[in-house]
Amino acid sequence: MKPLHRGGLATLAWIVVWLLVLEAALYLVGHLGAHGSTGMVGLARYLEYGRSIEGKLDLATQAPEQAGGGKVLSAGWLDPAAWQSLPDGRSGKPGQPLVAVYGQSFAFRTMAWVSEQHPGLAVRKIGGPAAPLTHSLAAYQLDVNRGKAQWVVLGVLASAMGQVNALSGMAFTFESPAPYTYPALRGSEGQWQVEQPLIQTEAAFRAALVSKGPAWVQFKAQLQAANPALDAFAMNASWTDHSALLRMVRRGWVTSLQAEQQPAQLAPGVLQANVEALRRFKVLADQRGERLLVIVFRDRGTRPADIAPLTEVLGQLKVPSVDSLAFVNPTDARQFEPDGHFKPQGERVLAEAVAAKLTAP
Amino acid sequence: MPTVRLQNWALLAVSYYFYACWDVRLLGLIWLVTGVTYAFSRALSQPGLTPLHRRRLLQASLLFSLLVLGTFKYFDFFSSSLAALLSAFGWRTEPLLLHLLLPAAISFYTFESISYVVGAYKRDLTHQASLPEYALFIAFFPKLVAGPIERPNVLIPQLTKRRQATREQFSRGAFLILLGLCKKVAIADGLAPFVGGVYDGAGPHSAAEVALATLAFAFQIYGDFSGYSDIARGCSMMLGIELSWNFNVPYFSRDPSEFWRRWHISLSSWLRDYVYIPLGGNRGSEVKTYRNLFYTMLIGGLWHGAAWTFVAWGAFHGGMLAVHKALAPVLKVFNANPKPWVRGVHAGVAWAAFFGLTCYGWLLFRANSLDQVLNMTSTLLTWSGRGVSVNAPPLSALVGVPVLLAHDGWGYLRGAHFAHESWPAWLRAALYVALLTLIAMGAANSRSAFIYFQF
Repeated sequence: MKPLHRGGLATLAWIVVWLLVLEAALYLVGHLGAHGSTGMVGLARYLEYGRSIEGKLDLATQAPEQAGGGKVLSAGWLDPAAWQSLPDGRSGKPGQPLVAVYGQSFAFRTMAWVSEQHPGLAVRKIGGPAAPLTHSLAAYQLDVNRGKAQWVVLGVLASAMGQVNALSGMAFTFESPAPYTYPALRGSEGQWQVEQPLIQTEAAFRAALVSKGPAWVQFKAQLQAANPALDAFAMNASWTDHSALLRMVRRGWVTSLQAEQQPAQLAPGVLQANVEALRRFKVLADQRGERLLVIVFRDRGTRPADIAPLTEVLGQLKVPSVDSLAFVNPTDARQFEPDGHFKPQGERVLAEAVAAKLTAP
Repeated sequence: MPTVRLQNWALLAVSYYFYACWDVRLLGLIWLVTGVTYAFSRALSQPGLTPLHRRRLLQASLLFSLLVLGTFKYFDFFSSSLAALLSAFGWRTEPLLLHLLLPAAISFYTFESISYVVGAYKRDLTHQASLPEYALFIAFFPKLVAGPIERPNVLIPQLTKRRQATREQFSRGAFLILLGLCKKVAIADGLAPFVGGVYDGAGPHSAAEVALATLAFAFQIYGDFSGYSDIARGCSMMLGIELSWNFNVPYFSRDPSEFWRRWHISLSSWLRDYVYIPLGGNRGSEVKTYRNLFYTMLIGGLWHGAAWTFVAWGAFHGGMLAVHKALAPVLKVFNANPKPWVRGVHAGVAWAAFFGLTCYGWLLFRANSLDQVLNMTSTLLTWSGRGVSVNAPPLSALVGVPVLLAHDGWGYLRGAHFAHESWPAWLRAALYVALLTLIAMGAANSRSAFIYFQF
């Protein structure tokens, strides 16, 4: 064998050796981090980001302690049968004015500040991770028999507007999939159709996930039809989930695909769906005699063109609103935590503006 | 030699397709520049022309090339600047703006066409290219949009021979592509949001933020530009074509003269040959030499873009070159000291001081306006504020920069581009795995366009 060939083969062999050594080292990091070794938790979590959605969900159901608790599996479900029997979950004391908050963590964090400053308010939170308007609308529709709230606060997250018809949180929260589902609103002015997700309860989800039977396959197909960025490599568990390096590759793949699919601005149909969901929310609030306050959260990457139609319809419907733009600059990275939430100082001033509206005579 | 012709035509077609993917309208301009400058070069090669006639042809060709570049790249800039200047004197006037699309690669292929025509004028072209060969010299896709700015005597002779990449070229090319991808994906794209958070985010920023973001930009632009050059060189090697080196571990430079022999080598050598030397170079008095250095770098700064910040950057480097030249006799004393520790301390101090100055130059380069330059400079000089509230760069960049420095450091010590080839197989393999891992980590970073595409 020629020296060049021998050298090339030796290098190739050593590449394989180093890859195996690296995989073993990263496996050890993951193992230590999953079992509470403080120094490794962050790195272990980093290495898990690229696991397939199905793989992450399997881990969360089978080994919740390794998946950071698995609480995200239970968040945000809109189970019509179980809804009425769910605890009210309100803070504060009985008899206090009730503020029902629909939306996502941005809305809940803001209202936490409000509660702190105004302990006389009882707050009830209904939502899911990065929940879009269609989720909030569906939750509000389920709440028809709940006790009347003095105020209904609706959090509209700018970055979630594009997910209004994604049908499930796991379609757009790749790194930490939240599998709750919600209906989609498809159509255009005057001609709307509601598409229901094939899985609507946590129990049905867990059963389908464990069995990986026809129900799960059909559900995945429904999600993939609604979300072009949700390809098989991102979605399906496979042997690649066992390789830390291939998980990194998958994470990069999904990031690239999502960036590619991200339009320069929201499609008209998507914008109209958001506006329609908002209109329906307002109609319901009026029917129930509840005052509606909308908080528009302009998180990082917010495009003003996406918010403009919402602002317009809020004005047309005369819905009181608070826009975070007045308090947090969405283009200033320093005003955001690494996880994308506003920093405390921004949240506080926004909360003060919200509280002013809620407590005004 | 039909095979060479076929290779060239295929490469030319692919190069034009590559370029047309930006905007198919851009093809018209590159064809115009190619055709006109080739015609001038052929005219210059005709026998029997008087020296005056030849000089007029050269001047016409240069005028054409600079007019094209000036119209598309600088017209609106100078028009707006003139209007602003007149306005400062009380003459309010609306600037005449053409709003022309800036064609990708125009700065690069214009300079290459000038090289060819000047070569034809001086009669020092080693090979008189045919039109397809010349067109390929201009449009060769790996180097088209961000260099290196090739010289006709380097590239054209290679286009006249049948090419087949050797095993060594193929493996070196693959390594360069791997290295370039790592620099771009893991380091440059990883650092971009951190840099952007300070330079493009709402101010004011603390001195620590400005300093860290500027340091980060130094590695962002190096990773981005040298990464591109590595990929371009790697692709070319795999096609059997050797492009010029554009970078040679520049951040180990200890003075501006060394820096410009190591950073964007194709541009600095072009400026030396076509601006500095024609201005007189160092053949006149010392003051004239300093002036020529300053003017050359001023043009170098302006070449990068139609903005006063680029001009300021060029002026800064021109000033450094002039000062270095003036201090050369003093610095020689330290370099010639018989005590190794004195030489070592001098080298270390020189490196640290020059790296700091280079980073300040990057502040000028990256700033969005002269106002921002002034604000940031003031912040640094007064060291106002130590807090850093911009989120840290990702792991791929934090790990990638030391790996890059280690690789570059070894190359600097060995004085070789492929210094790792002397390593044992297990160590080479470790390097390849490290680069692959960094690319995998960096794949999740948000993408940003190559910085030099805008020039």
